[in-house]
Amino acid sequence: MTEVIVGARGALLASVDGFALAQSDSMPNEAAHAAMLAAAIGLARQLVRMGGGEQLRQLVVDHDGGLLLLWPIGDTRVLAMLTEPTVDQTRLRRFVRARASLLADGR
Amino acid sequence: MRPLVEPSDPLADSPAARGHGDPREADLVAPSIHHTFKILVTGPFAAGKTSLIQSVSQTDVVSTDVVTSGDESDVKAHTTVAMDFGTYQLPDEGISLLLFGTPGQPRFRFMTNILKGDVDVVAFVVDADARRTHAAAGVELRSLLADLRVPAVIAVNRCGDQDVAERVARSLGALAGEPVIPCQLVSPASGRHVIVEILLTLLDALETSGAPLSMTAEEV
Repeated sequence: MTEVIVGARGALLASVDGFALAQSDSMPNEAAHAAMLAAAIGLARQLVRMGGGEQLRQLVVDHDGGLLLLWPIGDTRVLAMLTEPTVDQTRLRRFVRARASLLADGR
Repeated sequence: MRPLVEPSDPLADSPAARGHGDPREADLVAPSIHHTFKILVTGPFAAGKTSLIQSVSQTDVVSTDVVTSGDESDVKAHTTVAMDFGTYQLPDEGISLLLFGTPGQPRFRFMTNILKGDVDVVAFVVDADARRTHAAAGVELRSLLADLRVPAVIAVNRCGDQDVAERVARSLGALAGEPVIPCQLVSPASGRHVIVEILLTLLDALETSGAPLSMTAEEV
């Protein structure tokens, strides 16, 4: 995934309860990261309700070093990707959406 | 946000009392809540923290429950990954408790660190039957209280006997002055019992700090 998308620096697939399932070599490797992703998605789902929505599609953390993008994958997984700030987010979203079922199945 | 309590109000000087709302708005909407307290509901995985908040909250609980995986799915089907949030109010006394529940697993400890700021009372929930969690829970309890320096209430879940609850609490290193409540946290009545103990503990803390509170224990 990080080889296909220009500007993608690393990816991490985690369970919604905070366990790392797979990650690219370039992704920082700390046990708490998967838990932080799970917590962020958990809170973001609540914020969706505050906004009057029902389904979280994407969470974007825009910081001075780039972007951290999170997507819920099915009901049980979350995908995180670190990118350069200039990454083509539309293409990236399309790419992830096309592979969501594969990621959800764990293949 | 400006405190609702006037400077002449003895509670205004209490570190355990927090203002709520704007006094100018108070004239318009006459809110009944004058003192808001933050309660940290914490303890080990599957102890009953979410159950406590769900059983007593008077507002919809903000929950971040998700399905469990791996070994934890053998213990229970869902777990909190960020926080639970509920409220309990005594409008006649002008008191509101904000209940912040933490996840229980060590990998989510960063959430406890986020949520523990400005806490007034720690409600530490432990499952009487889950003895293998007690040693680590004791370390966590003492570490947390040494850090926060606030009173604690020990809720011993799945326990109907005060003596058993006291033994569990002492095994965690709970001090003699820390209230211990045996409870069944699937029951709202049992949850309210814990809330009453929290309120009494707040009352003690306020009186000890020299800030008299008009509410008496009997009124609680």
